[in-house]
Amino acid sequence: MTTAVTQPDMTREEVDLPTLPQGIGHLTRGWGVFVAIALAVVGFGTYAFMYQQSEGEIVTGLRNVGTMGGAPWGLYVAFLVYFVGVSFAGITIAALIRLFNLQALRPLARMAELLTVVSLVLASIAILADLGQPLRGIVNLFRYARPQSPFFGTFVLVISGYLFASLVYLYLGSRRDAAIMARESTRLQGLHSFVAAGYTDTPAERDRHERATFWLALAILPMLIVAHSTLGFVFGLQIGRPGWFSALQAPAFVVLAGVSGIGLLIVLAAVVRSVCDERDTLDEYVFAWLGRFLAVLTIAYLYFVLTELLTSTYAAGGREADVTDAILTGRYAWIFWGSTILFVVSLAGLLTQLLTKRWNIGTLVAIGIAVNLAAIGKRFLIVVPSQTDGMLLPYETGSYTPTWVEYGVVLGLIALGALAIAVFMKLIPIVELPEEVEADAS
Amino acid sequence: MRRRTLTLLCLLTGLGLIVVSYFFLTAPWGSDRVGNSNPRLEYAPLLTVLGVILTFASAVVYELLPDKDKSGEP
Amino acid sequence: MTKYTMVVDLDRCQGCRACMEACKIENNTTEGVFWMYVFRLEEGEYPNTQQTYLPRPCQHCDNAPCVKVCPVGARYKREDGLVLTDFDRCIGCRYCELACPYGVNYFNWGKPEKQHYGEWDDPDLQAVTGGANPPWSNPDLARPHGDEQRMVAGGGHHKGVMEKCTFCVHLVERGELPACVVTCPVQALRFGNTDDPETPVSRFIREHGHFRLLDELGTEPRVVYVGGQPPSDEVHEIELVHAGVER
Repeated sequence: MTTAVTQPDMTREEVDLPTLPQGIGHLTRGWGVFVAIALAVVGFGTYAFMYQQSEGEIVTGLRNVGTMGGAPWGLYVAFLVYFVGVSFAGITIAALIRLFNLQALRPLARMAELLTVVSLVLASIAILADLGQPLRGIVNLFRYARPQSPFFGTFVLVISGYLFASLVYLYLGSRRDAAIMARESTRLQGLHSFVAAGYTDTPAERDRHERATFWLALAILPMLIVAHSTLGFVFGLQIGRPGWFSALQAPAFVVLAGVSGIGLLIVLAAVVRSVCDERDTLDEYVFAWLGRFLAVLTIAYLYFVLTELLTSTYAAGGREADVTDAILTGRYAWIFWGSTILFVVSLAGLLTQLLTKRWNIGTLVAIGIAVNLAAIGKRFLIVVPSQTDGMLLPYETGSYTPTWVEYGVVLGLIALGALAIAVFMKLIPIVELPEEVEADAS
Repeated sequence: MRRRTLTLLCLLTGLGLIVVSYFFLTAPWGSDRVGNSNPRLEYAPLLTVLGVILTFASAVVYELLPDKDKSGEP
Repeated sequence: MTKYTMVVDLDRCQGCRACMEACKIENNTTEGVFWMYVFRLEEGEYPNTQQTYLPRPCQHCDNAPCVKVCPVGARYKREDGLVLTDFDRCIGCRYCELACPYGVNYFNWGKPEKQHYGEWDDPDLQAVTGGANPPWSNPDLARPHGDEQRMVAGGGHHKGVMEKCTFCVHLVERGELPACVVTCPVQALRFGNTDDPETPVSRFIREHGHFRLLDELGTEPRVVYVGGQPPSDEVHEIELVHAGVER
């Protein structure tokens, strides 16, 4: 890449714009519109949250179980679990690429890591939105947190450990590209130099980077299993909640996390492919690989669904049966069957493409969205029915309907995630710059 | 050499912090006494989190620390 | 060592719910919050129905699931058997409510001044009460209790924290009995130290067949039921109870 020569009568803008790849530093109208909409939704979500903070969570649809006939955990917790689930994608792809040297998938690495970091941040905010005393919660968790509570693992390992480790992984992986960017004297040069932090693309440095990220990936992988399992344990260890108390919760959490994460990654990859014109790097091989991985995970997850279904309809009595009935044929049936149909149809689409060896990116995007909608439905089904229909003492059946406050906060969080990704894409290359480009800063 | 030492130091300090704070300083397991509801040292969970952060920060130390023996480098 | 147990005599309970009222008055609970609750249950088809009543305070379990899951140790178990909630430390995550099989926990969804019975800022009411302390706030209870000196009694029902039956810790520490026990017109509720086998309560339990609610879960509740049966799968509440709250 050569540096453009500045003519006296050329403005800086005319020199800057074409020199950075993937549209970095170049704000298009489409991008501006997208960011404006995202900001508006984030603003609305913030307003909803502030309203909730001033009046209390009474403005939500959440209520106490038992005599109040409600559900104290609802949309916020369902989405918290969903966001942690989505974070599965990043580290899995990164780890697989590193540990099994899957070079053809390298273009996915950074966006997958970004998805992990962003979704974990959203999960943390979702927890705070759910707490009755969020500020006190931040202080008291650092001050008093008890390891015996499953929340300790969620707090320490997931939010602190997993998030920080992924941030480190994302950062270290971005240094080389930032160094390449920093060679051009653009408005972002300061930022790029800062991120690059003196990276020189010497063989020694590359070697060090390979080694560091290898061990990092190796360390993050077990934390991945523990993180998702801990979240499963939050539910699975509760003897008092029919429908929750099950050894299957932890592994089912991990598998559904994979499904939603890979699904969302497919969508993000497709967006990046068209917006950044990366049709050569994000080619059919990459999408086919993602599609195959998603197919395997979906089959595994449907197996879990089947097992839970058979177990609860065959043997369970009393309140367990009440919860199962509510989910299969009662108030929540539309969510259960809707999600199941979405999974089955998605799997059919994936298997068709797999067997015909013809992968269509548009279909894959639709499948990615479908499995995520289904995953959100399943997360909701994990959280709510055991509260409204699973009371062990003879209370009346409860009900739960989210209010605009909850929808507002959740939509605001999703918009925040989209916003973060959009901004990142304008600062750092979302697809790793190819190997041939020397990042020598001499 | 300096890089490896500092990285190892960072890593071991982090791991040490995690082990010590988790097993000896946070609230003990058990649910039958008042003592189980308080950490043995207040803010011990913060130490655990710092330990986790230090452990992973060792990767940053390893990569970012300039090579002492490379000529011309600070 | 004192270890408190409550005994509920189901042969005597007539479902009058005076204990629920007494608990409300003693602890100033807000709308829809029933630290003590009495199920009015019916089973069978008319005319062959059978009605039973089941008082349900917090069971103050020895193996309390709520204590295990509290992330910050706000819910804790004392050596005298009481399970209490430190409302100064509680972060309002509601995990204890989800962990409890008995449904005794109440989260304060809104501000106490808006969640209380009556319109406290109504000028007619103000004229009558003459600026007295508002009903949700009881300064007698808003003090630390126990050797551990934590804020666990009725208090101010602050927005965003959990609360539940405390076995009237503020009374018990003075050597008195919980409000529900004192108020019951037929003495269906008994309360005392069962660590000493010769106290009246210990002897009463020994002399009568008894059960504990949801015993099979292993929570080891400290509330013992005498003279009746655990609720079967066929019972249902006589009237719909959705004591909900609005903003």
